[in-house]
Amino acid sequence: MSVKQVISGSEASMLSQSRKRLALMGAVFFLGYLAVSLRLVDLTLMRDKPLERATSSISAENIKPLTKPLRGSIFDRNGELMATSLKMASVYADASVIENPKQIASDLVKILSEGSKADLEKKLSSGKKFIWLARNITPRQEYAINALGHPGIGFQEEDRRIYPASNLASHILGYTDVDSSGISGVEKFYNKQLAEGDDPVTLSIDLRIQHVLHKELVAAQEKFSAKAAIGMVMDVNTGEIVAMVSLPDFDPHHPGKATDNSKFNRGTLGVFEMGSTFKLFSTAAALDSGTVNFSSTFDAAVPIKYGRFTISDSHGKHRVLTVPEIFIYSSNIGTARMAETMGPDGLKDFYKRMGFFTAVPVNFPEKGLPLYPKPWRDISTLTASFGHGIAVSPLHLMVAASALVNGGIMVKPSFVKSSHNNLSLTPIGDRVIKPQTSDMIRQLLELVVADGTGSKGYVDGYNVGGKTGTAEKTSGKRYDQGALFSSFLGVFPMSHPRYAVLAILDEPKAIKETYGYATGGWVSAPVVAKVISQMGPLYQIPPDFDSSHDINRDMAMYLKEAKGAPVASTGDH
Amino acid sequence: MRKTTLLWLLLAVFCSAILFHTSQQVTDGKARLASLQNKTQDEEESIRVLQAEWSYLNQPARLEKLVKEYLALEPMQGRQFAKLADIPEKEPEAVVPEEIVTAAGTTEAVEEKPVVTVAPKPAVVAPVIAKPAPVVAKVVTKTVTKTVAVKAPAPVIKIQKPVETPIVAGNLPKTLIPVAAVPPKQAPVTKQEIGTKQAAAAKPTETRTKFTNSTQRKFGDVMQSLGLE
Repeated sequence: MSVKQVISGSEASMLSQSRKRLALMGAVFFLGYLAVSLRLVDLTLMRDKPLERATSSISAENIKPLTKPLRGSIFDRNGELMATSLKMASVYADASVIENPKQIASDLVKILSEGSKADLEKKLSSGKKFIWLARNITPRQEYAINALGHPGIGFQEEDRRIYPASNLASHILGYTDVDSSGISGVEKFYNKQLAEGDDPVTLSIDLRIQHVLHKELVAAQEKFSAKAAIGMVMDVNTGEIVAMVSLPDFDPHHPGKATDNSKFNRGTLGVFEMGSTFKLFSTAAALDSGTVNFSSTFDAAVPIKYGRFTISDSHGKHRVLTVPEIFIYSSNIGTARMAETMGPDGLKDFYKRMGFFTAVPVNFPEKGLPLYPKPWRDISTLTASFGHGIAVSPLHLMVAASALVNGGIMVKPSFVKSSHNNLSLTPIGDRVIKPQTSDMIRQLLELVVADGTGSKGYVDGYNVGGKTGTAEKTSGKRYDQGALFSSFLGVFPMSHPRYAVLAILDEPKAIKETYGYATGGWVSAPVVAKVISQMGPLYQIPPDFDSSHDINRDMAMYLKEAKGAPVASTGDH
Repeated sequence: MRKTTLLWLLLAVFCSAILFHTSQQVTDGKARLASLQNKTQDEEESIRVLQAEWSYLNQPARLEKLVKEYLALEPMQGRQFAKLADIPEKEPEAVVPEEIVTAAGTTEAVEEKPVVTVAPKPAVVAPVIAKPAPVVAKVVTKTVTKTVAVKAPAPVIKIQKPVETPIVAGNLPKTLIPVAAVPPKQAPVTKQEIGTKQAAAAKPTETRTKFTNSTQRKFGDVMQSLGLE
């Protein structure tokens, strides 16, 4: 029996009120769910932007945190790896929890390559909460140490800079410190770019040519017991430095073990009196100014006396010489007289134009500042004409020589591959000499190898031109007769020069094979010849001139002596 | 309880079930993402290590040492380059009264006027055998009266029986073949179960494959002359 109760009056109104409230709450909840379902529809059906924005902010919480990005790699111009950073473990100890330091030390010393047992024991018993035991160990060592299972020994991941070429390009690349920031070389100059890690550095260096140059220089340095050696290969049209070697060199993996002498970059930082290779520039200056031409003659019979200085020729011809003869026989007297014709400031202004008074504007941190006479006197013109009294770095020499042979444009040197592909080989830069002067210089360079002091720079199949230089080194105030700075600057292929190759030996000692000579033509020219003979085929440079080209015939009118001067007279200064 | 209440209750339970399921899926997805990102990093590190090792193994000094040890290659010289213009032009073909059938062995239409093609020299192959067998193109005289496509007889090329010298490093001209290139020794055929095919392959100098038609025979001749059969 159902009982129907009649709800009266106030109770009815209370009930209806509560019903209304329930309905209201129900409506609110319904609106809430409606909003959620609308958002759901929005997220799933209307895709593209909302969804992506949502997911981009999602990051998995368990990824190994990278506090610092990995240092960028350095490649050579062909994409060969020259420097890279690898993650390696470093071992540390929490000495406060170590109970048996002796035992652990004896276990560790068997695995670790560096650190003595006593050293490790001291560290382990120091009681410090964190102390490094060994940095950058190999994965095998890491596994072995971990397998020991000693508490208190931990690992931390660190970046280690690896140079697969080892000491081959050590001066160019430089090295980094423990915190992976560059100390010298490219590592230092491009430190910021490398530290960011995304953009690798592509050098202008060609690893193969670097190897060839290094190999030949090491051999020559050994053969002539030289104190040091410098080599450089440069693209004369783009200014790219294809190879640079400075001996002695060091292992960039252990810069701490290297001596300061081996870390000294003689190619860019060292400044030296170059000697006769400078005649290239004084001759170019004279020819460009128009005061002399190939037919001009100068008397090289009598040494020049200027106050207490005497300028003379070693192995001189002792007669009147034409300008080409002065160049190929490397006459100091002739060159000095030639430089005089330009007036007191003629040579100085030209050298300034060539960049011999300032550091080379190159993307490299170690730049040598040249030494030159201040104030510039008349005697300075005479001595600087044949490369004495002024000291520049080999890089200065290369940059200026490139400007002379590439048609007269001063190209900015670079250690980094040039971004534009200059297939037409037209140099870009400021003009420093006339194109005609450049042609004349090319002819002179070719003649030196064909007929002059540079005959040992001859390469079968290629036309090589060059200039020898042998400077007597100063010991204090006086010139030391025995110590020489022998150089040879070769350029090839002479029909349209593309590369300049420089080889310098510091204090070479004459051997029986060279008949007692240690001059540029005897010790440095063969190095350049060997480098060019390997570089040419590598770069697929075809032999250029045809058989109708004969520089001796072209220049015969300016030369008194027949072609093929005996090799024994390849001594010069 | 009202039916609608029950309905709403069930709906609530259902919704929360879906919610938790979705939430669980997201958590799983995040875990997978983390694992994959970790793995990617490990792989990237391995790649770097391998790149460094590859570069180390490819150092010019090491390659030079290996080349000297294992290969008979010398560095190229400038004189070894030649321009296309240096290659001499092909000589114009001479007109010979008799017909010389081409060595290719294919049938050719022979015209009334004896226009002949000079038998091309057999392909210049690097002399693999000690004595290259000379190929003599036998000149066949034929009289033709009609301009009718006549089937040329199978070209007869007499090939001297090749000298049966096995290809061993000692017999080869030293300048061409590296000393190290000794071909692998022939495995002796001992077991009887080896099929005739294998046996034949193991003893190349014994039997000659029998060719069915002339073209294949010519091919076989050439191969034999080269000592490759």
